[in-house]
Amino acid sequence: MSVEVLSLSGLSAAEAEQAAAALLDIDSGPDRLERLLVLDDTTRLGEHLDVYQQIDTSHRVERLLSVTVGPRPGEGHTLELPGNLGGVQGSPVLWVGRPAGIDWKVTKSLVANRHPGFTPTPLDRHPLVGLLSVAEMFDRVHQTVLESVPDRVASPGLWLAGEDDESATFAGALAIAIRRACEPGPGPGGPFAELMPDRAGGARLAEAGPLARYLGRVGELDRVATHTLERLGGLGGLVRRGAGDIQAHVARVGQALADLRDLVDQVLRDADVAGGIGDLTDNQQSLVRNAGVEFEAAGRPRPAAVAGASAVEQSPVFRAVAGAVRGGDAFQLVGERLIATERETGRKGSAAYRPEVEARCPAAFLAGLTSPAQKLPRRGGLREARHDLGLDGAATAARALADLIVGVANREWSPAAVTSGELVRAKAALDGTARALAGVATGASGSRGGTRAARLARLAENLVPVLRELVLHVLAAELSAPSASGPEALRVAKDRTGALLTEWTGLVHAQGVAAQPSFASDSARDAVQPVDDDAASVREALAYPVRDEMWQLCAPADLRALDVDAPTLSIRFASRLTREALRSLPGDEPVWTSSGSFAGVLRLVPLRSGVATSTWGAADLADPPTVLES
Amino acid sequence: MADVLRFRRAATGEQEEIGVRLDDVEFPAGESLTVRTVWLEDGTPNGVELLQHRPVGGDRRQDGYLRLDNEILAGRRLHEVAGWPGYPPEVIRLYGDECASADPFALFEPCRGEPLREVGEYLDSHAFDQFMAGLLTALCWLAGAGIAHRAISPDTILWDSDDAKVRLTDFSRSAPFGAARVPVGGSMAWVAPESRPDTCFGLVGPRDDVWAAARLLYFVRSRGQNLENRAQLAEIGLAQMFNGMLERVFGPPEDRPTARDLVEHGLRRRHILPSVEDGGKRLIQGRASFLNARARLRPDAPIPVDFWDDIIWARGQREAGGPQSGAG
Repeated sequence: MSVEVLSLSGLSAAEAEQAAAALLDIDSGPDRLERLLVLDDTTRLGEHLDVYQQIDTSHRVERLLSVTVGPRPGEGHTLELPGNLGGVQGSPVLWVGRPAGIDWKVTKSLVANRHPGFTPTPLDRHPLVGLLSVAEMFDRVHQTVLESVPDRVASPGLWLAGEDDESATFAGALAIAIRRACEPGPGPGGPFAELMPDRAGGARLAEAGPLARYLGRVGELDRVATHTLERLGGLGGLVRRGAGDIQAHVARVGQALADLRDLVDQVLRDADVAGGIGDLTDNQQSLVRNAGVEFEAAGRPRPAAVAGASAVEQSPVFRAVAGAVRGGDAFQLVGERLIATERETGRKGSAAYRPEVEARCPAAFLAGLTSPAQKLPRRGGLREARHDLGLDGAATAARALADLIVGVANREWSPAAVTSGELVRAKAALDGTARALAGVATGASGSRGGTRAARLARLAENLVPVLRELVLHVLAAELSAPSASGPEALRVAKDRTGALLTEWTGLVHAQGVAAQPSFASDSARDAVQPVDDDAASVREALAYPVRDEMWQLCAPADLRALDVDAPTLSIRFASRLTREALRSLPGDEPVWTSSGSFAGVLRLVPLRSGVATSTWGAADLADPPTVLES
Repeated sequence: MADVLRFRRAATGEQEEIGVRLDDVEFPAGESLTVRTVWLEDGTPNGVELLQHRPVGGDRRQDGYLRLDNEILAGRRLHEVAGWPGYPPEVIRLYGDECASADPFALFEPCRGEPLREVGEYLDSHAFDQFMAGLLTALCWLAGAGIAHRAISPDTILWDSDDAKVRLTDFSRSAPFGAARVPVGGSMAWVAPESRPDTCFGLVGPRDDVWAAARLLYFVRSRGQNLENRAQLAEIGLAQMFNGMLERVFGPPEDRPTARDLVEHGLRRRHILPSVEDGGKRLIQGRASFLNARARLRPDAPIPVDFWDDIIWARGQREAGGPQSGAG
């Protein structure tokens, strides 16, 4: 049920033949060619004769519709067509003398007015081509021209719903959407929890590494000391029988704790990067690894990573920002959270944590454990004995030292930890995008009151999800190809945003306000539905008198070639989504399209008799009949 | 036919006369100066692109003369201590000047970078470190030249992210050490108390600029915030970075550390200090030859009262054992 488009526009004869051959090839081309829309330049039709013959003889094409673009060649007044186009047997042809068209009312006075708001676009993005690419429209146009247009060649005219102010409508709605998305709003503050070192760093003690072994040794000796205490029956027994024995056990715990403490302190000192600026040297990485610190990211993929997602979508920064932005948080707020995160995750070098070693395991406490002159407690059960002997304190200190080294590893050494540079560039990308968007919003004219304002507001609501995707698109581009610095990221983001807005605006000019740019995600696409009150403008467009002034796709000079006396044909069309709302529409049944965003009227004005000629012969083409245009 | 500019070239001290193309558009550079682009026709295809600063016309022209004098003096002094090839990349470079005619001007090399007001909040920790070192190094150079900038702010200091270099621009309010401070207008966030219109006092010295420089460090480090109180320095790690010395910057000028102190004893990075020679003797020789030349032309011209102030001040500092320049 699709329409295949073969664009021969701008192609030399050889290139055109190659393009046609590729499409018509039974093996490599499409399975079926039920509908073929051929786009060509009027001046190259003669040059492309072989291609049309090729199409004709391939026996692949069920229905062919031709759109030929541009003025008639030379000084002639004839539109010379290949033999299988137009005439009494050829395929239907729509002649677009001038893609920008004119505004014209079908009368004998032949007065052309400039059609405002048309932006030059590639031919395949012209609204007419977009319309004919919809299967239902292709079929109706094909049938109508075949059955009702003399010589099967017509000049098309368009009247699109809302087309009169499409650009202004979009610009106004976009400005509202930008203000809505960029203005400060409520939302969670503070750093992104998922980007904090303890969540992102992935550090842990390797089971067989020295740090884990030293920690285990403290626990093991603690258990031996506790077991001894239990055997002695608490402090009473201790006093009576085993004082010397338990003192030795506690001293061993103290020695093991001292070993752990020394190792932790040594690693913090030797794996220090001054001020936290820069990366670990190879030697320092070995040191950290040999001390028994390992990182989850170094061994296997992160568990939270989504299978099939692109690299940038697996970036923790992107996922955090995308979650917030898609959740509706204001861009400014998200930026502030990135900076709060950067402040919390900032590196300062592992040596800066050395005072923590003393705080978590004071030297005086260690001396008390290992001192043989330790004064023994005289009363209480096992719990009191452990506490009084310092065994509880030793266990706590050992755990605290292990936590310290893992915490420092997450923050200072982890290859998976989010860096200051990454966060700053992400913030710069958001700000650059927001600044570029703000420029657009400032430049747009304010909306007037009444129904237009209401429509703009509703349309803006539809644009906000697309706008959010635009921001994320820019962010993803930055994260996947990082700029050298934050200021560069800011500049690049502005440029990228400008380019995306240009793409979007161009698409809207070509396809209407509901056009979806490439960066819109599926969810954003789903969010964009025809605006309710569009039904009114669609109804109005479909009821538009067919001979009144509308956008005729010809040049002023072509008007003399049009037959204003012949009945003017028209085809009304609208999205199937609006069918219910337009149920009571009088007149012919419109074409209800299953895709595309168009609604309106296609007017087909026949050419004066004799203007179009169809022939296969080059000799005939070189000697066209004379036609009088009066 | 091309216009011709006659000026003293900073690199050689020689007078030059050279054809130029002048940009049609001239922009305000502050309240009293204008700037436009000129291209010296030196035989290369595009010529040498420079920025020409000139005093505005009208009732601010007199102020414009003074501002231009300040720029020229700062530029010449920096050339004296650094020379052309060793000129610090952190400071806008004077190419040449014409200070004696009724239509004086200064020619500067174009300065790459964007104002910190625009990009300061996007410096990551590595770039911040480069910025910090660059700013303090630049102040050491100024101190070596015996000049205080007196207008340090996110608008006058640029960051060139391509080269990771700080650039000090706009020396229109600069003054030599030992000169009496004149009030500086503008935002109180960037003007030290001793230079504000209501509380201006004392002599310009090597500790004047560190007040605004420290605030600028905070501005960049905090991503565009103005410093409200000293406790904030510790909140973002600046106090620790300078080992507690930065807080002293906000005390009375005489108790402040110099930029050199901040580098040497705060950051403990003595190795980044520039080696700036004492230009005092050369300065005295230059002044003396100027007076001799002037005496030949105008024997009766009086010597301005503050003509030797900066040199006397520097000698006094030297004799008192204090920082005569604060440079390396």
